[in-house]
Formats: sequence, structure tokens, C-alpha cells
Amino acid sequence: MTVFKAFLKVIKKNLGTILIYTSIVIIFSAVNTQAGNQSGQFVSEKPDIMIINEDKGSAVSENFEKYLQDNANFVDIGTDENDIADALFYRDISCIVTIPKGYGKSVLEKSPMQPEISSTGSYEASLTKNMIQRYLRVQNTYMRTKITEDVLISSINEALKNDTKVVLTTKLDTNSLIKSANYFNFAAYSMMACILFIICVVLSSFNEISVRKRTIVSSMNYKKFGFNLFLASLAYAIVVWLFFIGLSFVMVGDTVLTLRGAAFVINSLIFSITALSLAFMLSTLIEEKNALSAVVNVITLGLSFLCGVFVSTNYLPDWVVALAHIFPTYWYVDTNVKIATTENLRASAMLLVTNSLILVAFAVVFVMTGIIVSGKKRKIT
Amino acid sequence: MFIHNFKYSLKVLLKNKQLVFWTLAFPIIMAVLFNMAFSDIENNEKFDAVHIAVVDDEDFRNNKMFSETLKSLSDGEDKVFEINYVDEEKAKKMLEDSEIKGYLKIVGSEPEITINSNGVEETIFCHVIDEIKSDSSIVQDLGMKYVMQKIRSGEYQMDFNQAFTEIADEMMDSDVSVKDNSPDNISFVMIEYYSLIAMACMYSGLLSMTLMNYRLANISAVGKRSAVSPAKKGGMIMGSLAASFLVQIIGLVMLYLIMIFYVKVDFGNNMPMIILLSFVGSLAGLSLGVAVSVLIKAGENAKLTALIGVVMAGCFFAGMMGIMMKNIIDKNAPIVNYINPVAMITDGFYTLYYYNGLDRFYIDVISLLIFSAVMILISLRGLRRQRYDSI
Repeated sequence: MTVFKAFLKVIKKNLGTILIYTSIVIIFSAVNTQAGNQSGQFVSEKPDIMIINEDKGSAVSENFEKYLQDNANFVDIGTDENDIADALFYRDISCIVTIPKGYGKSVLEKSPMQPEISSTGSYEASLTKNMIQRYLRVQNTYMRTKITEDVLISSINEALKNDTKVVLTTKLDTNSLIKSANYFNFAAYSMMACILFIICVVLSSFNEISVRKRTIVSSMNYKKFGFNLFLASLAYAIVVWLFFIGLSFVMVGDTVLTLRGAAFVINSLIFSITALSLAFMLSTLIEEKNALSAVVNVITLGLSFLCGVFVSTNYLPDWVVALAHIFPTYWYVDTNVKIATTENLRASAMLLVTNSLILVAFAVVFVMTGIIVSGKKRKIT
Repeated sequence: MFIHNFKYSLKVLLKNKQLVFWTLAFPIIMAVLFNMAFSDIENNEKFDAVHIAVVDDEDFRNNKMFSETLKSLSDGEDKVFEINYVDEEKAKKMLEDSEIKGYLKIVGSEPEITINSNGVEETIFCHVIDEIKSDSSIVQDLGMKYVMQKIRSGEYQMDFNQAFTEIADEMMDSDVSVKDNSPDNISFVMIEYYSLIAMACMYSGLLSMTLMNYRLANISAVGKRSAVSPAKKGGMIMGSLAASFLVQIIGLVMLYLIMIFYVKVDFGNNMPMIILLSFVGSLAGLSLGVAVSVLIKAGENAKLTALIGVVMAGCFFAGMMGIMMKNIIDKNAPIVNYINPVAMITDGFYTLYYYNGLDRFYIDVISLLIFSAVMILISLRGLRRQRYDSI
């Protein structure tokens, strides 16, 4: 009980730090669930664009504008130039299409002006450019035949009817699964920070020479003391894990209750145990208490950046992904992504189990290293 | 007194390992991590050929319009598709294993597309197939009109094939170019680096706070001694601030060197303005540190947590943990970033990088100066007339 009490005392002292990490994951997930395509993984099939039609009143120009509006999401930014420039920079829109003044007339006179675009160079922008060029090809082809404005417009619209048969095969609700995967990936950062920081502080407090001397001379059995300390740390890690699971219901909802949800939950449990064993190893390695927050911050942030927590592994350079294989966080994130994207969960069960075993192997290595190091340090001269 | 104080303040700062880590090493470590994580992100955003499959059967081979157009679209440097010609079973399998985005099958003369989910690449695939289809219908339409016209004018002898080919060629040759006004400096990862510099500027608050704690009688023994000493308080505080500023500038110079030569961050071309912004930003950080130190009546650790908490929250709203955050706040709750010094610094760099004019930049600089002035005034009010009968 004494050990548990001491544990609680340290937690109380560091409640501020725990709150900071927890609120970061809450805000992250909230933003992520609201803004949909934050991670760049799910994108709507229609590009977001802004159209500036300087040639209002011309039927030809308005037909062009209507075609773009039908085939893209028209985002109204307003007329302020700074707002438009900001929207392009922050990818609220992928491009701005300007239909210049006099465009309709120039088409009817068979020497069409060029529409202008200003884009981010992304896939969505390429898609928009492709759409515009398709329209222009049809328009310019009909323009050369001797027809009136009305016939020109109706011929264009007739030719541009999209009626290719498209079959969608997926049965997965990809969107909500990817949201869940993102939540659990972000949780890797916060869970690891909460577990590493507190456990390291507690264990290194018990490792301080004066405290250790007192523990050794006390009537408490050394093994029992070690076991109690282990139980208390485990209990804390489980509480942290339970908290993030509880939070997941608020953030991603019912998905957690499905088979795939259960897979996410089990994966995060294994990960929190691995984080616990990493904390144990670090506490034996780091002598100075002041250095703890520096080391813990560098480790949690570093692992999160390199292993796909903050930036999806799709977007990381190949050599970074290769390097990430030597860190446990990579395997945790990889499992989450597989759970969310694999078409047949049962068929890929072996892959998921292998990933989990690798995480367990990491935990074993951390604990063994910790035991060896602390064994060497046990003698106080 | 100023020189004496300056010298010892420098010693105090540089010997404090924790402080050296947070103000000098941490921003550099973050810059290196950012570089590892973000160096490829915008290359991935650019267009790569879409991997698809085509069911290579009798119907497809007979449809010249599709087979030849697709062949030309999967050739050359800027090809649109990477095509696998396979049978239907194999195409299904490839789609299931996510090796391709979708496959095309020609049924009779009609195209049929099968895809897994909605996404940009799938949409590009559908668009191109639609385009080939509408192009062929236009050729048919115009070809028929041409033939009718000839017949009406009494000409019955003509080469149909040539007529259709001419129409198709004419259509393919028509000028569909658009005027591209895209800005070059559109790399939004830059915001990450700018907010990192902003964070480094604000962390100078840790330096000034540490030194202020040496001047406060209710915090440290040194504070008690300097409180009873006859030395002028103003001179002592100026000495401390000057030392903090020097250490801060050393840290920033190191960070800039890493960012310019290793990470290759684009700061635009206006060097004097970048230096001005860094100075003003560091001033804001120093004054925030002084204010936190004076206003929060608590132990050293509580002050440290408060300062780091404020700066990290500021970084979050300025987009360091997710670039879109700054934009979301700017649009929905602009007041937050008007009083957030991290956002002002980040916005200043963003303006130098992305905009041509300097108006918005000056607003940022002036806001930072106002922020610093307010912090210093509040601190001065708190510092004046501090008297302790016993402590």
C-alpha cells in the first residue's frame, strides 16, 4: 500500500503535465474528425475550386461556369484578395479558375481567349485542369463548325454527359474506419507521453540513492517491494489506456464496438504495455531527474514524427519508413492502418498477430535491458 | 553594475543544462525531425500516373478509339496511366489486393469501370474514360453531319475513313491550353518551420524567467540578497535581460543555420525583415517570461509549467501540430491569433514568404511590439513597491 500511496502522490504532483497531453489528443481528434481530410487519406471525388467569372451575361461563359460548378465543389471565399490567396495556400481550394472578360464573345468569333488558373499543383488541381481541357476541346471543336450560340451550348452539353457505367465494389465504411485509425494513432503520442513521463518520474524517485538506502534497510522484502512497484505501474498504465478507450467512444463513436474496433482496442493495450516497459528501461538508464522531461519529450515526439503518428507513413520518405521499423510505434501504427484498410480482416489476421508479437518482443527486450542495468546498479558503495 | 550583472547572468544561463536544452537544443531537434517527416510530403501531393488494369478481350481490341487512346495515355514522360492488360479474373484480384485503383472493361461498345472506393485517382480514371467516350461520340456526330452535307450537295463519292480521321485529328489538335498563374511559393510545410522559429523566439521567456527568479526575494536566496543590496534594480534587470537576449540570439542563429543549410527552408528574400521579425519575436518572448515570473506567485516549477503550457498552446493554434489549425483559427476565431504572439510571428514569416506587399507584415510586427509593451508594463506594475517586512 505504501508504494501505491507514494505513486498517487507523484501523479497528483504532475497532474498538469498529464492534462496537457490529454487535452492535446482531444483537440487533435476533434479537429481531425471535423475536418475530414486533414490526414490527406480520404479526399472527396470532386475537387474544391473557386471560379471567378468576369464575363457574366454571356451564355457561353455561363455555360462553362455551370459545367465547372456541376463537376467540382464550388467554394465561395468572397472577393477579398488576401482571403482568396490564403485559401489557396492552406488548400481550402485546389485552384482558382478565372473566365476573363469577353471570353464568350471571343469563342463566338472563333478565336477563344485562354481561361486562367492558379493552382497548388496537387492531384485535385490536375483533375480540375483535366476537366477544363476536356470542356475546351469539345467547345473548340464545335466552335469551328458553323452553328449558332444556342446550338453550340446544347451540343457541348450533350457531348459532355457523363454516363460511363461505374461499379463500386467496397463494402467497407472507409471514412469512419480511417477516422478511428487516426484517433488511435494520435493516442500513441499521448498515451506514450503520459505513461513514460509519470512512470519515469516515479521509478527514478524510488531509485534516488537516499530513498533506495532507506528501502533496502527497511523491513520490506526487496522482492515484494519490486512486485508492488510493478503492480502500481501496471495499474497506472491500464488506467491511462482505459481513459483513452473511453475517450474513443466520444471521438469516433460506434466503430469501437465492431470487430475492427476490438482489434484497435487490443492493439492499443499491447502498445501501452510496451510503453510501460520502455518507461521501466529508461528509468534505470537515466540518472538525473532533471533530464527526464527532455529525454521523454524527445523520445515521444521523435517516435511520433518518424513512425507515422503525426504524418501518415504514405507521406514519409522511404528511408525514414525503413528506419522506423526499429521502433515499436511503427508496428502499432502499421497495425492500425491495416485494421482500417484491409478488405478481409480474418484473412489478414496473421499479419496483425505478427505485428502484435513484434510489439511484445520489444516489451521483452526493454524489460530485460532494464533488469540487467538495474542489477548492475544495485550495489551501493 | 550592468556589466557585472550581465556577466554573471550569462554564466547562470549557460550552466543551466535544462535551460540550454529547451532553448538551444530542442528547436534544432524539432527542425531535424520536421525535415525527416515532411521532406517528401509535397512530392507525394504531385501527380503520379494512376495504376489501372484493362480487361484485354475481343471487345476491347476491336474498339480502336479506346485501345489506341489508352495506349497513347500510358506512354511517355507525363503519362496519365500505368496500365496492366489482363483478363477479368486477374483484374478483380489486383483490385482486391489494392495493386490498381480500378479496371476497365468494354462491353459491346460501352466502357464499364470497376473501382474500390471514391478518391481523386479513381475520379481521374473515370474522367478520362468519359472523355474518350464523349470524344468518340463527337467524331460520330460531326462525321455524320459532314456526310449528310456532302450527300445534300449531291456528292456521293467520298472517303469515309479519311473524313472521320480528319475530324478526330482536328479535335485532338485544337488548342486547349489555359493560362497558368500558379504561385511558386505555395509550400505549406513552411508554416511548420515558421511556427518552430516562433516557438524558439517564445522560449526565450524561459531565459528571462530564470533570471527574474534570481531577482525576486520571494523565490530565491539570491533574490533576497539583491533586494537588500543598494544596487539599482533597473540596472540589474537590464543586465539580466541583455544576457537573456544574447543567449537567445545565439540560439536563433544556430537554428537559422540549420534551417537554411540543412533543412533548406525558404524564407523569401527579405533578410532585413526576417532579422527584424526574429528580434521583435524574441523581445515578445522575453517580456512574456518576465510577466509570468512576476505575476504568478508560485514556485519555480509551477512558473515553468505555466510558461511552457502557454507557449505550447500558442504553437498549437499557430499550426505547429497541424498546419491547417492556423487557418481554421484565422477563419473562425481570429481574435485568438490576434493576441497569440506565436501566431503573429508565424504569420509574419508567412507574409514574407507568400505575399508581395509588406502591409500585413508590419501589422504583425506592430502587434508583437504592443504585446511586449503590455507584458512589460504589467510586470513593472507588479515589480514596483515590492516591500517585505519579513520573508
